Amino acid sequence: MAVEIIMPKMGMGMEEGTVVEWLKQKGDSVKKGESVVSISSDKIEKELEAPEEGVLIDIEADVDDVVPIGHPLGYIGAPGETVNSEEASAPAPEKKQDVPVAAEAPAPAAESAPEPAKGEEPRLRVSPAARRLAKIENIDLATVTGTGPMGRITKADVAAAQTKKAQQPAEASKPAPTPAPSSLSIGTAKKVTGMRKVISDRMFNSLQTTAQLTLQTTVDVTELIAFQKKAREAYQINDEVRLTITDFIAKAAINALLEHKAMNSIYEGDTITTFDAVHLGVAVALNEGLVVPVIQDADKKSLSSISREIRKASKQARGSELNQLQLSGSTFTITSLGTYGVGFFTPVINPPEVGILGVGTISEQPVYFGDELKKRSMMPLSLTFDHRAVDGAPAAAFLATVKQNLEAPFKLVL
Amino acid sequence: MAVKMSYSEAINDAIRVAMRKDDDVILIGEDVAGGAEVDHLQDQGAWGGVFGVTKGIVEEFGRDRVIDTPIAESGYMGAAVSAAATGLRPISELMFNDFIGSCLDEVMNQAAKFHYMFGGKAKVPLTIRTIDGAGFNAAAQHSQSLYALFTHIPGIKVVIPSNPYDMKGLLLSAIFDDDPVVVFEDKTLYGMKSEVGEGFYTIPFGKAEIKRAGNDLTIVGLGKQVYTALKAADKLAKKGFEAEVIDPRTLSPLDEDTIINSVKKTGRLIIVDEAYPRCSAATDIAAIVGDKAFDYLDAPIKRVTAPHAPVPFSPPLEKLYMPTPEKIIDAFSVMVGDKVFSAV
Repeated sequence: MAVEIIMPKMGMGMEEGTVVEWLKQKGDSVKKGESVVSISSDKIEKELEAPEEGVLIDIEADVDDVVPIGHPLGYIGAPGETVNSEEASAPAPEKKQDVPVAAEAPAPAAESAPEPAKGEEPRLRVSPAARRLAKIENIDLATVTGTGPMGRITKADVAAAQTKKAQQPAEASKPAPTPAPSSLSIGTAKKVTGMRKVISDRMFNSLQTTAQLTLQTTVDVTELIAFQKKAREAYQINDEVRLTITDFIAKAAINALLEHKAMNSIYEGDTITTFDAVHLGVAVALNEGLVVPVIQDADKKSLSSISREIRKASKQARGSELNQLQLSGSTFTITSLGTYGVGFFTPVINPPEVGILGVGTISEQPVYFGDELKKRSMMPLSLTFDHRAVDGAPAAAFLATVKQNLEAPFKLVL
Repeated sequence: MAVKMSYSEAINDAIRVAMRKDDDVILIGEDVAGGAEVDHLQDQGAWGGVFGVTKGIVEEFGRDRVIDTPIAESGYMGAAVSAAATGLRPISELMFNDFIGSCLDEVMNQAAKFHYMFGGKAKVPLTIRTIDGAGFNAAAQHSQSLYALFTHIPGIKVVIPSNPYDMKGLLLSAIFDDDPVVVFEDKTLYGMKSEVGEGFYTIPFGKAEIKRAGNDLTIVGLGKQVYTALKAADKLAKKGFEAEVIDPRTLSPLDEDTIINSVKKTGRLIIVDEAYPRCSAATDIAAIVGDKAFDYLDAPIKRVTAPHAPVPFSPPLEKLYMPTPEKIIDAFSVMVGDKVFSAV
């Protein structure tokens, strides 16, 4: 019996995926768990493993084909088997005796084998949500360790297994650089795959398909810094909450988004959808690229829980522990180059959002108060927005609100 | 403009606003004014109901519109249903919801059925205000929360406001709704104060309020149990679990979407209800979610309710009887297992 390799659903918004590369060709034999085909969604690239041992008997989707989720990409079956013959033989099983293909024998055996085995094994405890996720992610529940009550496999367990699985092929593919095209080349050539490819496609797409421009302003954060130090001392009950300037900037942006809802939108196709709830993306740099974990419903959270979530998400991002759900659905993004001495820059919008706020390095500057010069801590902010969705004045008004929020920091904790 | 008002004052205010707005609105019940036929109390309210909620209303609107009745629930409830069916908008006060047995036919078989049985030609714009809730040491016959009994019956709307603001908006919606509505007033909330809008405003039925956002657990708190849920959520947050707390505000109609969408996000549901657990609102919500969000559940649905027993009179026993934040946290630890619960 041939088994389908189907296009999996890798994120909430995913409806179709693209075949990037067939790692096995038609007729190749494959082991269970071996990578067969590499596919990509708009967020992530992933290698699909063979669900069974056998031969890749047919390929339905070629490289660059866009396939809806749940549709077959190819089939794995016994040597000599074809997808059609399997279908034809199904209603007339007695024909099997006439077909002198030895390899057909193990197929029914393999099919019937798990049945009695299942009866003997203790029942696997799996939550409905975990079962659903496992099906979507094509994960064998027998390989997942349950941490719930009485060893029940929970959604988090499946997500953890999925992350582990996703990381393995990525690492395996890294030390396989494409050979340099000629002896002229001195550098190391490396095929763009995985996270790099996802970033590459998304950033290119962002700049090619939107009308983005950047507004810049400087914020006096002298009081914010003093306030943050005090707040940090006052609230540092444990390691979980350690208020940083970034947390305050996040909160200031969230509050400003509630006032200027147009900035809290996504532009998809010919539709602009504006949200009441703020799902805040926070860009986190990694060695191999960057990810944007999302603080869901950030507008309903206090400064301390936002702080805690940002810390937790960055930690998880660095340990590659984030799942797809934690990486999708943001309505606005913040990115910071403050630790690198960068002032103003032009952040690139994270599509389909319509705005991104870039945070630069705080420096001490002379500022006039009347005729008097004072030393103040100044922070550059760069707001990139999509002019297709929002005009200059409302975008500037949003940025002004962010600035006001940061210059009156006590308001952020009220 | 908002003013600070108690739950009880918000009810009084809503009734006055409605009675000023529409002459068809009348108030009828036992001692809603008090002192009728007592010479020196003839033109003023003596009691304003057993908790003084309607005090002062008779002075403004007179005894033609604020009608004291004998202690005969079936009599005045029948009168209120008939008055509603023939053009008035009566607010009928059933002193304690525990007394519904004395006038259930008028509510369940008459008020709830007219619109349906007369092919939509009749309407019954009746509001029944009634008192529920345990925790007041009022014993088994004055402490029940019988909203599920009414939710069971089609043709009746059921409202369980948890705060003064909601109370006023929902009560005004009830009074100007063309169907019979039962509004539950939790007796332990009468003194609770919050900001309430001035003048006329309404809150639509069937729209739950998310009191607190979270990704790890959904807690639906019915009536005042929303506060028990919020306390539990605060304690869980200290352990690193963020609970989303939902106040459904009305049981009929019920905002299923808000609850289901939340469970789709969190994968876990606890319903907190101080009513009896069998055939209850909590059980009903559990069944709806089990049916419509099965594939999203990451743990069994838990109900934190009263036991299937009458409300005890003994104060220490009544305390044990009620849902508490600790009971909610215990339920959550059972749902996720010790390994996860104690790991954080």
